[in-house]
Amino acid sequence: MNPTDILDRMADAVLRMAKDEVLQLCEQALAQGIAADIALEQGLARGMRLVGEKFACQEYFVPEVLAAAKAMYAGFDILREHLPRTPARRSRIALGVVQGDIHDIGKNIVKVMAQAAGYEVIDLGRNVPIEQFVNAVRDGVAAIGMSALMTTTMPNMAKVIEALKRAGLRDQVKVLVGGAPVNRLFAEKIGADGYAPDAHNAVREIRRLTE
Amino acid sequence: MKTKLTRITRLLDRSAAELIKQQIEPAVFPIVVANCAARLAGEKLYRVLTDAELLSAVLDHSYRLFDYDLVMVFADVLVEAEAMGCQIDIPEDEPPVLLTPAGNHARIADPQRSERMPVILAAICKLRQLTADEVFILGSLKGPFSLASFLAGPEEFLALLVEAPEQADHFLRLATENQKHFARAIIQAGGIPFIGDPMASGSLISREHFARFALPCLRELVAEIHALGLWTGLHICGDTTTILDLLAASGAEILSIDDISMELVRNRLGPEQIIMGNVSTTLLADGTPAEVQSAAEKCLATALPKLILASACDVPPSTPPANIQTLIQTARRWQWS
Repeated sequence: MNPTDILDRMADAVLRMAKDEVLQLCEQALAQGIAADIALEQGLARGMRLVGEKFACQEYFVPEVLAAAKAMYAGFDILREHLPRTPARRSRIALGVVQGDIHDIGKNIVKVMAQAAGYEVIDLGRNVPIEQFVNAVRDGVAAIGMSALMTTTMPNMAKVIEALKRAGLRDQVKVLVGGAPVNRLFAEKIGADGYAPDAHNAVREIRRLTE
Repeated sequence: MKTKLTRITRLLDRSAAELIKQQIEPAVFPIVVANCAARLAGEKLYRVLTDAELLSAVLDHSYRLFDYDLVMVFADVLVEAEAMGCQIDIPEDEPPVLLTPAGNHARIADPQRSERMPVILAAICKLRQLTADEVFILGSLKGPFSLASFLAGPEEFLALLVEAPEQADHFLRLATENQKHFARAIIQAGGIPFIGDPMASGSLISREHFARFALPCLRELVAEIHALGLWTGLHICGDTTTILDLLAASGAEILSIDDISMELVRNRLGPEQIIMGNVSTTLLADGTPAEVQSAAEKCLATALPKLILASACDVPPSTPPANIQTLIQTARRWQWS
């Protein structure tokens, strides 16, 4: 198989959520001398972007995205040690579910999509205290993304923005918000820079704000 | 005078044409459950979720405050999951969170003994006394799909649908059996089982997965309730646009619909399906009474006569009481033109 075929088949295997095939193709790619960063970008990540497109047009749903992500991560584990030390990457971003909220499926999907788009993602997890978002900004991330599933925890997004202002850090970072009860009006009201209704648009919004 | 019972039973018994001819007064139920009722009564949520006396007291308090046509005993989504072996945390004034899924330790619970299932049953009994049987007491029961997802862990479970369907089936089997027991216990306590299946949402899973995994369990559970001589309802959160016909295929008499186009819902489901819904909960929490009234009127005009005017999902605790009041008054003042 020529390199292009292998990369195409890697992307397709991710898209079909076929983990074993992904593993096999990653081994094969390395054995044939395909650079790990090329295999990652043009194979695995491209597959995940195709998953994102299917998710955006409601051909794929959460189970398919999770299963495809597992296949991609499994392949990534094989490629990881062969990657160059400083891969050409987009900027660093931090994602987290705000304090009081533990619903993190949406955040995890944004994470997978953002990684597939080339961002280095710092996952702050769920039920994230305000100070931890502020610390991520101190560490130099270009953007933070906050999500909430409950109307009771949404106000914590505003508190993070207030805390960033108090710490004099607000101008250094772009702030995105999302989650089921969040809408653009709310995002504007609390002074966020961006809002997205789903993972696909979240990545577009991150790109718009950070590049 | 059992007006409230009549408002519901005539929806079940009579055709849309008859109801229109009789110009019936619409039934109304803002879905006020434990979290909102606790806030209205000034009680901490933790105590309400763990004490049958207090749970029934706050639900009775809201019922009397607003005077709506149904009462729902719903504590939180994790009652059955906890009873089946999941570890959860109940914060002082926030909804409980799932700490550790039961996984392979999941077991069928005893509704009379396991964790907080007896709290729900006792609250149903108590509410029947408090309301002197003038209103139906709904006992909320998680749909098997959602319960299975808590047992396995939500993300793990959703991935299993693709990667290992037979393992997903194992959790669904357990969850369905458990809920058949619980439905029977709710009925024995004097309640009407009302199924809520938030994870089986069209926002999360495909129509194919709903049909393959969620629907057969729902049908089995609904059939069990029917075999016990009762009617039931089904609420699914989020976008159900593509699965409305499958919700109807569950056999549940009442379908409670989240915030999607009511016009589309009525068109797809036909005039004889009883629909519960669907004034936006965001609007209830953040809108003005005038906005709530306008949304409620639109809903009534679109979906009557076989409609229980309701919130699209449970009413958020931060909702101003005036907005809940407006929802009810809009139904009470409805004039057939």
